[in-house]
Amino acid sequence: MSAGERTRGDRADDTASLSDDVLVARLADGNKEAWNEITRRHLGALVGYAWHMLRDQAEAEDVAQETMVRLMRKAETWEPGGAKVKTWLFRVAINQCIDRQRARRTTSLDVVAEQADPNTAGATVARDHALRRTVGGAVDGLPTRQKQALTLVHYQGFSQQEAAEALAVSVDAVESLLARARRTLKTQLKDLAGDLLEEW
Amino acid sequence: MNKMKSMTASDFESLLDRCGSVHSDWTADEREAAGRLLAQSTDAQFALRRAEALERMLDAVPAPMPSDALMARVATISKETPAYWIWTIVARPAWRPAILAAAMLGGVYLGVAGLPTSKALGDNVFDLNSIAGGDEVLNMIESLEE
Repeated sequence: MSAGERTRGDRADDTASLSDDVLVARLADGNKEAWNEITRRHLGALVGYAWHMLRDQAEAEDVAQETMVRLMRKAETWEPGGAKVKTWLFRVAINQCIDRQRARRTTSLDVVAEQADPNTAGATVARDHALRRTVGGAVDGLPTRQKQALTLVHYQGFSQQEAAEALAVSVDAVESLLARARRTLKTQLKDLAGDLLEEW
Repeated sequence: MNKMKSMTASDFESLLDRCGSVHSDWTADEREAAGRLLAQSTDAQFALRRAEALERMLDAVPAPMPSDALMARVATISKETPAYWIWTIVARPAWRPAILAAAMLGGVYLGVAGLPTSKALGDNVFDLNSIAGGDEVLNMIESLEE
């Protein structure tokens, strides 16, 4: 390994250990490594959240990209110690998803079923296809706030506190949204997917 | 938080609905009380298995990873990156035929109609042809100085 490579590696390690606030401060100075690290940390989760809300990869990627553009523009006026970068990013993404949902008001359940895993085959594919369709349909049938809370906590790994900040509600409200969502899903999936899981 | 002395099956089901089936998401008191309940209640054990099954079913609908195209676009974002609607037009392959068609139509129109001239635009338009050369401009400046 050359000295140059070690230097680049050390710099990357250094960037990876920095907080989001510090990275955004460096971003305001045009630091490319800071931008790459922020992208590595948050882009996948933003696409994931938007996809679960919209069930359309192109739209989900548009939402994620626009969110990142807005962060880049916000960097110069970012105030450390205020809102967390992660929370801010998801608020932007949440609002964009709401706008897009209002604009179309329909979701194709077929889109959910089409997310096939290339590593499965035959009967497993058919079973997974049916499971995705059933579960995705049940999740899509939830009221928007419940779906937002479930998506943030279950799929994006947010704590209830983080979800509360992103949704601008109390932790108790998040717990209530999650409880209602899970109760509805248990009922719906008991009826719709009873034969898909032996444990049910 | 008050120390939880005991937990009923109904309390446990409520905990599962609010916080899910992952024990680390519960408080220490809740874990302790739930542990005691699970050791003796088949209803609680069934509720836990059902909650775990729900989480596995939700996991069966994974979101796609960001595409390479998105990664490339995001890597090029800078402070000068244009607003979203311009990105949408330029970046979406579906829009490209429309942009090409509009450009071609515009070109054909200009070819047929001809480029607008000062006469076509009206007499009040400043006419570059009225300035014959540098001498005339110099004469105008000299006359102003006098």
